[in-house]
Amino acid sequence: MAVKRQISMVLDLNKCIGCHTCSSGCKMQWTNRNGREYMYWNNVETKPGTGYPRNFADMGGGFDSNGKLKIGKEPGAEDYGIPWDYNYEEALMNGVDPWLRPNVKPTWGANWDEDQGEGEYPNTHYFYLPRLCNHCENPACLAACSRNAIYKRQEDGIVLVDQKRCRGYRYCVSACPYKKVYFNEQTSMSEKCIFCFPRIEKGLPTACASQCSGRIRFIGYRDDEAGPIHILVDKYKVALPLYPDRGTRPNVFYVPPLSPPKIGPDGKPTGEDRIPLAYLEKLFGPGVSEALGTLAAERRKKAESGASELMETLIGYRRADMFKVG
Amino acid sequence: MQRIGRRDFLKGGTLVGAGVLVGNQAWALNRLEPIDDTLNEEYPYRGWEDLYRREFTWDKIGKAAHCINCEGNCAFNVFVKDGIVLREEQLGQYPQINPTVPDANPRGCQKGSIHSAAMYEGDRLRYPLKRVGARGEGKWQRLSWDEITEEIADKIIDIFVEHGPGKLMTHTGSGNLSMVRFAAPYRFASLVGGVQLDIFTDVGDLNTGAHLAYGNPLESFTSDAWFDADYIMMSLINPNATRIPDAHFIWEAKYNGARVVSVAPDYNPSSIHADLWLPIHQGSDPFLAMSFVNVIITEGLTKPDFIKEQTDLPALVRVDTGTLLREADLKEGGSDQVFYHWDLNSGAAVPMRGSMGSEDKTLALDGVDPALEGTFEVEGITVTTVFENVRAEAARFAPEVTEAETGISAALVREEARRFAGARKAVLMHGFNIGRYSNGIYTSWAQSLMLALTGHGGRTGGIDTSWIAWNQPKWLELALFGFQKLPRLEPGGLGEFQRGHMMEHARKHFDNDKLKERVGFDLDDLQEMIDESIGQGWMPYHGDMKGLISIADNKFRRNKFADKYRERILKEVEALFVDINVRMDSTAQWADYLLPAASHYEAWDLRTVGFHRFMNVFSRPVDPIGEAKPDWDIMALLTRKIQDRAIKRGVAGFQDGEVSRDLHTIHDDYTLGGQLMTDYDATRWLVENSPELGGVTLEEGVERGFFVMTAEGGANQPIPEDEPYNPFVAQTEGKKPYETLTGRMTFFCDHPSFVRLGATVPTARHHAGRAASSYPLSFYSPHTRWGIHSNWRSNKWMMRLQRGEPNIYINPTLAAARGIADGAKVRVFNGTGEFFAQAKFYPSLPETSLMMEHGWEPHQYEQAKPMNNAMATLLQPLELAGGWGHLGFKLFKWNANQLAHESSVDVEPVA
Repeated sequence: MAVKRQISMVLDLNKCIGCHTCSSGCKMQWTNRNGREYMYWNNVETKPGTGYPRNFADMGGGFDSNGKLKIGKEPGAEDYGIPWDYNYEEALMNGVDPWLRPNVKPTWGANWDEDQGEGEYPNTHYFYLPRLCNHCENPACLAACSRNAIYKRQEDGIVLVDQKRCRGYRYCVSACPYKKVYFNEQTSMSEKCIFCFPRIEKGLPTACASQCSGRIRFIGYRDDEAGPIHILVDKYKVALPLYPDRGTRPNVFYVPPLSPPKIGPDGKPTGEDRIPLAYLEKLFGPGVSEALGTLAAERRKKAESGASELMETLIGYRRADMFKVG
Repeated sequence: MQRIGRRDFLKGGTLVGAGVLVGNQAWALNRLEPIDDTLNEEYPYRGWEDLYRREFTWDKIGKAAHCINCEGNCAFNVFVKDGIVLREEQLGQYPQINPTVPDANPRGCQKGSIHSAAMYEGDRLRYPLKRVGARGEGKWQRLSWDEITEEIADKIIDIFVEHGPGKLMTHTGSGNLSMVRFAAPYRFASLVGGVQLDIFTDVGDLNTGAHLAYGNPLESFTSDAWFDADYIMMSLINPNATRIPDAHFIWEAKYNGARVVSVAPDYNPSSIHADLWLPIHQGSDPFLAMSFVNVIITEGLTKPDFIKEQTDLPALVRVDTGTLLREADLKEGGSDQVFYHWDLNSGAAVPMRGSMGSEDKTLALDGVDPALEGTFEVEGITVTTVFENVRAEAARFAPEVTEAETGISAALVREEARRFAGARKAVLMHGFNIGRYSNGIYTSWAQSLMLALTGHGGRTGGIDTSWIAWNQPKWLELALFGFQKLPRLEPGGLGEFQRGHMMEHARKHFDNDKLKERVGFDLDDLQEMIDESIGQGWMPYHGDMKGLISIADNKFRRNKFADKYRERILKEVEALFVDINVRMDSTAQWADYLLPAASHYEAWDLRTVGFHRFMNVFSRPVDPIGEAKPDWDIMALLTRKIQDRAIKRGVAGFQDGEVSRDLHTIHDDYTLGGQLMTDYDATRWLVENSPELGGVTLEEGVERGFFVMTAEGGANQPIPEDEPYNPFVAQTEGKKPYETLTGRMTFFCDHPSFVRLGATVPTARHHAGRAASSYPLSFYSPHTRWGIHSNWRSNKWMMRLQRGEPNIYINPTLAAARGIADGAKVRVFNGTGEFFAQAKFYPSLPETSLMMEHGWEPHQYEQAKPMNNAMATLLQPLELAGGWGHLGFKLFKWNANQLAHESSVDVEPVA
């Protein structure tokens, strides 16, 4: 490991309910002001879907198989969604406008294709994917920064954009295959998820994790063998990185989603999962099949014997145990 | 935002590799501040990090929850800087009650988490306002509190002087569910005898089937009690969207071994995590439930011991009249509330203990072995059992018969019924949509039967009705003026239907003949049964009003036939319309006077309404914005003015039945002789007097953010200290009778309305839908994850995560057939009305339906034409029944819902 310690997060997609409380908590904590209004350092997207920003996964970035940095495309304002405002005063307070409406015609937003997914009724499928900066082992943003103004903190591996030395070249924006670096036009600097380091330094979980009503998020250090990250990522291998093929080695991991069976023409379940395995493998790599198998086996074990370390970890009996920050 | 594009000087760049970049001459600044490898070295310029650390500071932290009609009730820390709320964050400090049950933390949702922004939004009411233009024109004049309350007080006194008591509606809507904010206007209503509608039924929230079966629809599970279930069926509920703080317990139960089944017409956000999704045809739920009953009975999956003790299934029914055998049938002057079962041990009919007419208040059988099957003679009367009647009815609903109706294959139903019957603890979860279907009562009643037959009750399962009423005597005492005087309580759905003249509009939408085929009654039957219910005194209706004081209610949003309803009501209350509200909602817009109320973080309060045992504290982290005031203080001021003006005008008490409406002492009465002048006084009084808090002080509660209710908080039975709350344990284990006519779970009702509609035992009926009207598409409007009714519905932070304007959901195949593109504007219409919205593709919806989440503000729609313009409604006449044991007007428990999913529509693209 390049840094002394690496903080990390696991998100269990089988518990994610798509409530966006994480995004809202993050927004009130960091991005409702100062030129950050259009940004969602944490967002939740429906998969399959275009994602946020729109079609980010097709914009390139990351590293090729030889470890060479690939500078991708930079999303346009429309791809993020224009943060429209409303005529509250005119429509409601002084009778000037006839009804309440956005000041720009909404054509795209950060959650535009919510719940859409794919497939034909009744065999449709979708799931929720919350995303934040992956605080990668090999951050493409860092590699791309010609100012060397992006760094990984030695004590926790959090990747930060120096808000004094950044000159707003936005190579980082293009290079990040997850499009999790944003350009702040008000400050002319790039900004991104800071893994709530001011909170982490006080022993508190990130805002997105602290406010996760679905209790899907686990935080801890990679080297803590008794912690939830090690159990889920290394011991049971049920938590996988997003787009591992982009070469950045993320420190955010996902427990891939199970799904109910399809319904056959005879009206009976077919035994085939709704979400195609190939799709999940495209997102989370070759470990998906084994991870889903482990989840199913451990669930059976818990039902039959009443005990499974994996299920008990994922249940998270005490929320405080889901975060090993201090 | 646009500048990002203009400064995009790197666009199209093909630079590859970090080394190339670092060496590039263009980045001369690098040489001034040389840094090599930021990945492996300590970065030398970290002083800037304080920039973000400074953003994580505040002056003080207060405590609050949100006083809203969700069951969340979630404790938050509220961070204040320079007198302004910066942000809020879930407290997440609830204690784990047992190490084998996940704790309740953090509890919260995205709406609560952006309230710090919503409370300062442009729709917030900040000052007392008087209308100066026409109603709804939007022209307002600021008045002082003194001036405005004096004008209102005089108009209230005028109504009393001219018309006497009973002509003032003082309705508090579902927006006030914290204790003090709820108590203030209810206490005022109690003093003036104002009309208060049932807030469950005025929006169609009441689970009447659960009341019919169990005698109490508000006895339910704390959400942590889902965790040890091994079978959970989500039926007419989408908890991932609408029970956000609680949903995790379902998915944790799944990891704990539970099978989770979703029954819904669309593959909804909760279906996605289920073990099985049953894609049921919309509104056919009672048929599915009756098929489960059929399989359970025909395959012998019943639990006779449970049935014999806990249900009325052994009760004897006369074969000649089809009614229950009553003591009055056998004895001169006998009770009509004492019933019989046939004791197999003694071979005789013996009175069932525990009924309303029985003095023996227990369900214990004590040696009696009641027969479930057979025909018997009792003093020359041939009788059989309720079970025999139930079995005969269920025989009509074999899964092979209902398959076409429900869309669920018979084989699958049989398989699932067996799994359900074999479960150790089965929870059937209902959302509030069940009350919005005309056949919701049938669904819930038949599902109660499914549970009863298979021995699921108390600790082994039951219906989760999404609401628990705790035992809080002092709260009710405060709200209802010590029960010395009461408001004019009125059934919600019935009151709105009558007052809004909805029958005449319903007649234009529904085809009477087809309607009768579908739901078992037509509009003529309904009118007769409404008249009968009011005439018999089963349900009260207080007639036309002269004035309206509306508190935290958005009646012009929620009522069907929307514009027609609004016009009618505004005409009725021509003399006075006061709206007390935190924001300019679609009802406030039409008021004569607007009184600005304090929001969640601006007043002292307490809240228990929710799915858990915690009473959250509101510690008034900031003062109210502008001149807004807490509801308690507004009512204190208003009563002060009424009292002063009444005395000055020489107006004293008005006799109103057995009580008098004493306008000249109303302030002294309201404030308990000056003891309860403010929100803080009322909060403190509740804490100091409420037995369920166990003597913990308000200061301790504020410090912690919540109280943990003691055993006394349980209304039906004590709250166990170290285990989740399961409903009706007092009945299943303590043998306490249910609050029903027979004292048991009720599956036989010989009330004349039930007899008339052929519903003496659980059965299935259709909802009205497409087949009872003239338009091709079903329409349903479930709750949204993005608002609580209209609260936060128009908030920009929430809207930016949606599509910015009201949208309907449409299957892409249907859309293609109609030439509708995703994102395009459409017109949705029927003979009742029309509205415009944006089309959003949702392949998980059948092609025969449109769906639109409810709660959008009418003023958010183009031309302010709301969804409810195209919503026709009617009432379910069974829900008007009274005079029969536990059936009769009971606030929050038994009266008719305003229905929402009964109409049909068509859709077309708009150029």
